[in-house]
Order: sequence, then structure tokens, then C-alpha cells
Amino acid sequence: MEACLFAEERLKEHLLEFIEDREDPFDIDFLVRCCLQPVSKIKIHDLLCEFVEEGKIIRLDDRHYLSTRVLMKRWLKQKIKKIESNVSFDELELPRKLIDQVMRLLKEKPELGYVDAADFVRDAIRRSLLRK
Amino acid sequence: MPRTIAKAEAEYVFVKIPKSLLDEVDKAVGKHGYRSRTEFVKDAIRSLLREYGMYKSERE
Repeated sequence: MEACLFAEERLKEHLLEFIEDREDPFDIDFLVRCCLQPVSKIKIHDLLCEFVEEGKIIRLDDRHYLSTRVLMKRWLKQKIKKIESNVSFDELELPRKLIDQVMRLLKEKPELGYVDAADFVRDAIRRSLLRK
Repeated sequence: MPRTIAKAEAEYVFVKIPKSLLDEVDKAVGKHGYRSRTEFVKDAIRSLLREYGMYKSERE
């Protein structure tokens, strides 16, 4: 009985590994075909139901499923692209000596959290605008 | 002549700033007596460097 439960847990683990990063929707027949050892359709169906309940996959229609992780990745990619395309930039010419001082600060105090000199400059502008 | 250009290029760097932020700067420039948006931004950088105790006059 214990060995049976262990095997079931292993199957669940392996199945999740197999479908988690799968870019295309999948169905039960496909998963049964991909299993190295014979597994019943009902067993796969039960495991998929568990994954749906746990939020690891979603059911697309009567047959197909898709990993929640893949879905989230796609959604985030689109969102990031949208944000980037909405922001337009202008270039500003600034004295190198001043930017060198900024670079020195970023090197000496990484704990301030600035990603690069432009990040610092943008923060300086925002602070200055708030003060005025 | 090309040398002068090269020297000028070496003394300045280009920094990317969101247009929306520069629009705000443009509004503040006239109000607070700055000659240009660059002057405003340079002053803002110096202030923040000073806050962190890192500002040295560029002539030094």
C-alpha cells in the first residue's frame, strides 16, 4: 500500500514536471502516449483534476489543459511589452564629469538601489520637481 | 576640427529620460528661473549627490 502511494506521488511529480513548462495545450490522450510506463487514462484524468484544484493548470475546454505558469508568463510578457511601448524617451546631454560622480556613488553605495546612472538622474529629477 | 568634435563628445554623455518627466521639467524651468532643462537636471543631480555626501564641484 505504501509503495503504491509512493509510486502515485512520483507519478504526480513527474507529470507536473512534464506539463509545467509546456507551451502548447495538452490533453489526456497525449499525456498517456508520452508516459514511459503504461498509465490509465482515468489515473491521468484524476491527477489533472488535482492540478486544476491546486491552481497548477487550467482547463481550456472539454479536452485541453494548459499550465498556469505558462499562462502567467505569456500574460506578463505582453504586459511588459505594453508598458515599454507606452513610454517614450528623450536624450539629454549632460557633463561627463557629473555622470562620473554619479557612477562613483552607485559603485560605493549599491545599497541605494539605483540600477544605473539614468535611474539616478530620473530619481534626482523627480525629487527636485517635488521640492519645487 | 574633428578633434574638437571628439573632445566635445568625450565631455558630454547622453542620458535617456522619459518624455513625460521632461515635460514636467520644461514646465518647472521657466517658473524657477533656469535657462534650460539641462540646467534644471544638472542642478537636480548635484542636489541629490550633495544629499548623499558625494558632490564635488566639476571644476575640481
